[in-house]
Amino acid sequence: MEALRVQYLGKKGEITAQLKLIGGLPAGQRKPFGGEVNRVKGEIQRQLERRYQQLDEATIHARLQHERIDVTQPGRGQSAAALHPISRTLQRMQAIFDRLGFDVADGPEIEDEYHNFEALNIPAAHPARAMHDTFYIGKQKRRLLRTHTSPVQIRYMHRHQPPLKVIAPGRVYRCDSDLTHTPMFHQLEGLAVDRDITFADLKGILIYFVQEFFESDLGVRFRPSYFPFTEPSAEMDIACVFCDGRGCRVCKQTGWLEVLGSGMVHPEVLRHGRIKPKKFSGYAFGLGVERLAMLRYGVNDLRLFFDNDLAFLKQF
Amino acid sequence: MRVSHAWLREWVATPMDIRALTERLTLGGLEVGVVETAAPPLPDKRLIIGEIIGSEPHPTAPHLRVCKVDIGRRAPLTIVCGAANAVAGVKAPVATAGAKLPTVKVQAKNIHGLQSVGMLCSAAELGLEENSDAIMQLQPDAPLGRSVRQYLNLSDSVFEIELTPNRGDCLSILGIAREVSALTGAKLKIPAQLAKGGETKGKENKGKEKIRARCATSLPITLQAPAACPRYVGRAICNLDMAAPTPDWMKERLRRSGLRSLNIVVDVTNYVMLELGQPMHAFDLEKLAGGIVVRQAKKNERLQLLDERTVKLTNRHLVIADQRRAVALAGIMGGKNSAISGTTRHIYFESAFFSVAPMLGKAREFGMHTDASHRFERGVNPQLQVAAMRRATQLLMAFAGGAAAPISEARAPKFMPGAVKISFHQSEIPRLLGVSLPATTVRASLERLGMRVTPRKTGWQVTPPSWRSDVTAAHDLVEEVGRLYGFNRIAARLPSATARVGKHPEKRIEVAQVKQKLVERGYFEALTYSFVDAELQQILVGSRGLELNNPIADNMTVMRQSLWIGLLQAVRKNCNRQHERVRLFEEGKVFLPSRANGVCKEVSRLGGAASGAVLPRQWGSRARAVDFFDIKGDVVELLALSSADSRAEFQPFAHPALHPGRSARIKMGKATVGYVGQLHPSHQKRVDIEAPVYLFELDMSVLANARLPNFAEISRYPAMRRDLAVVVDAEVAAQDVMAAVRTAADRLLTKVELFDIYAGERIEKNRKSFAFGLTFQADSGNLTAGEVDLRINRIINELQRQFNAKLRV
Repeated sequence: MEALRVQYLGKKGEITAQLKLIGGLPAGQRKPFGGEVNRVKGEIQRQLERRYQQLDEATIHARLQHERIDVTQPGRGQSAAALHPISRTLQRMQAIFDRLGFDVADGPEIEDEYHNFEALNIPAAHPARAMHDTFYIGKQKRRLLRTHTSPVQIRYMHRHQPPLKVIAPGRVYRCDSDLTHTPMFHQLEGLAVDRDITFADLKGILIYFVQEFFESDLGVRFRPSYFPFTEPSAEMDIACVFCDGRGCRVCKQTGWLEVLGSGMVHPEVLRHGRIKPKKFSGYAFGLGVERLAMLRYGVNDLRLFFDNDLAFLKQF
Repeated sequence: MRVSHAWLREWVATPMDIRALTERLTLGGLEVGVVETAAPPLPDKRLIIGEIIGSEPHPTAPHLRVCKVDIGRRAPLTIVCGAANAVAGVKAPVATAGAKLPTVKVQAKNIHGLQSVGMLCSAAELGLEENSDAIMQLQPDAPLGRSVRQYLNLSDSVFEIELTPNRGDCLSILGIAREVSALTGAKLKIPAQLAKGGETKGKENKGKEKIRARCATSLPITLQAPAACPRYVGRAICNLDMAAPTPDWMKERLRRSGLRSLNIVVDVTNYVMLELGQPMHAFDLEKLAGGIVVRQAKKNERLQLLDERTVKLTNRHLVIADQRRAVALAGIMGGKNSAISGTTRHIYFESAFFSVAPMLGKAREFGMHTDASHRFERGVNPQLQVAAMRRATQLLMAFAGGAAAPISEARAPKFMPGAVKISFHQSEIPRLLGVSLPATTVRASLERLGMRVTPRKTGWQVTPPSWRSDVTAAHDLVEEVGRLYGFNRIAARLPSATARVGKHPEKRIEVAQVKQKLVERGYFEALTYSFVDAELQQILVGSRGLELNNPIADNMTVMRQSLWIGLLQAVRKNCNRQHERVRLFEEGKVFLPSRANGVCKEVSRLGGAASGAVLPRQWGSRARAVDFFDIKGDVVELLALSSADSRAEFQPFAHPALHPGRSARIKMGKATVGYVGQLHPSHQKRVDIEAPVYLFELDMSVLANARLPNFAEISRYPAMRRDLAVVVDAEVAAQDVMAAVRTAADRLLTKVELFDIYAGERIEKNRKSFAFGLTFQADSGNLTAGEVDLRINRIINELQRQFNAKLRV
């Protein structure tokens, strides 16, 4: 190819030589002759270029054949892991309450009797204390591991005046361990206090929450119950997510699953929070995070959450 | 509380079926759990009442008896039976051939040469009890040939009500019946004998008793602790027949309520407790000396209880005593020294009211929990004692005969719970419930619950009945009205416009972001207990930490001071489960003992552990175990979230948990913010993990805040890049050399990369070489080679001066 190019178009090439002749021609012939030579030159150039291109393509083609890989081989690199299902659940819960305008508060896990019990209207030796198998620390200055996230209510009220709307997620502890209890688990506490908060508001928030959480317009019901720190108190049941309320093993044939405890904040608790119960009212609720995670993801054994088996963690 | 449906129906007339009834109770706040039948399915015609009219030892099998059993038909049946109580005169359930019992199908069969045509049944064989070793004896007047199922009403249902601790008033059939009446409007049926006693609305003690007192015995009662026991009602009953059988219907009701039949006296006290809610006790009258004294125990006073155990008391405990000694632990359990027995002839019944506060937690102190303590801790109706005494007397005398002495009563009115008067304005209903109800509805609800409503100038004065000690204030009334109205009828309300309270500053790094970073780098999130093994903590952290007074397990006794303890155990567990590559992290609090903060300081930390290959096993790259620098890379990436990576300093540091030559303390200015390193090989052996483990832990506070991005003008001039390799002593720290490089140049040096480290044959011994890539760039104008050379020389000189560095050529 190069030889051909030199032979015709090179400095001493045949076409170049023809071009040099142009100057010596009579003026009348210069134009037609020159035109013809340039036409031929152009044609040769085009042909050469086409050939070059063909050759290039052939080379590339050959290379492409050579460079073929097996695209079905696995990709490489670090593989992503997963959040713990409890974290994942808590994050979803927080996101829903965030949309409803709740602030997030934190409190100590080692608490005192005042915040964990007394301020929540649970005096010493109250039968409700027997339901909280409490871990204690220290002899002289006795402390305890909080048995619920409710003490954060008191701490938050001490720092904020109404209107307030807050959730407090975190670890809680009870001295109990069997098939359905672990000595540590997670709760998410909610509290709202304002001038005209009623039970209707509590229902509104909680129904919105469970329907968002389960992404379903599932049925709910409220049952009167008893908690020392709320009055009226109510437990909320949702239509069983496994059988749509028809009755199954999980819901013990009742069609309902208990998911949370709630109520209107007891006036005594507001007083402990330095808020005037005549002026303000509020609601509070406590959600069991493990319970919700189990229902959401179909986990059938509470203890798996604290076993940290990769075979379990990899499923989330 | 277990409730027999048939029993309840005797007390309240409701047209509801059991399904509707239990649903109404549940939605009224008395949560009904499992509903079961009183007995498993039993045959009707093939299970009948029979009487053993003859019983002889089996001729060839001496442990068996051959019984002739009259079942009210022409010829008696021959039944071979192994029970010792299969003797003449006994009435028992007889299953005839073909009867299907829960455990067995009865057939006529030949037993050691004799034809047996049926079976005399024990309670266990009928599925009424777990186990029994004798045939079930029915009362002597049980009708022969009658279906046992009908006779004992075994098609009855039993349901469990999970009562909340405030509803002590519902710990009886009467109490549940009152609730059913209030919730459904059904009429309460007070049995005639009680109605005469006037028991319903706090008027229990009026009216006349029909029993004539024919026994003169009366013991003086002294209330020495009137605050704890303001009312004590007692009565002697003489010459009763302890051997009298408890009627079958009573036994059955006790059984359905979860109690065992013991003897007529105990059965009657239990029955009255179940029926009315008043716990009672019976003493052997002949074992009491002189009178009843209700007093505080003496210090170190000892009392042996009915369950044989001896309790050591203090003056915080209340006892029932006679003139000499304590005879019962008040409201919890009777004493052995005054207990009734088979030979008892005269008894002394106790029906007392103990105040709630002094009873709270007392049984629990002794690890006890009795039907009596359960009720007294939740509040017994203070007006019930005389009515209960009358009911018990009437029942006992009906079945065991005897003569009753007059009732004696001691009262301390000053300490009796008085009637609470609650000022109530019905505007409280819409204020708290968010629903407006007509005044007549509110008032009717309250009255259905036995409350007395008196109009006042503004609002009402409401007096709850004596059995509702839990109702003390206006908000309690709101709950009661709401409960009767039905929480589910209150319309839900969603916030119309949401005021934003939660703030999301851009600078704040959400914990979720931090976790996500680690997840992307291959770490699974773990959740480990906040209490850990004390010994392992001592080894890894250097101190035991805060001890729990009542740990739940031997290896969970102290509060963690580092996330590593839990993480290492999780790593080990996974290694044992054949996971060769383990990467875990946890975010959570550690608890550092501190006097300044009361007991401890709680610090949020982020910890990680990695063991095994650096990457998942894959083609195309050689498998390599994770090393220090991989983990350090992860840590630096985390710090980069808060732009703290450039300020963090990694210093060699001997941490007790870590390999002394492969561990670093992470400093930010003066503060230590974390550690990273390889688990000390001897600890690794101790926790029994095969491959080396790398660990890091950071205070979450360094990952809390990010910097807001602040735009800097982009230089339009080309950068110049130079490589520089120097040889230094092996001990020299890379971080120091890099710092020196930066200080020696000025801000024209925009980037320093350490791209190669070499030690080996091609350089001197105990020396290593660092190769740096240096990038220079100016904001205003092209750099000249001269300007760059000048800075390179300054760097070389500085490295020579500080580290005895030589240029590598």
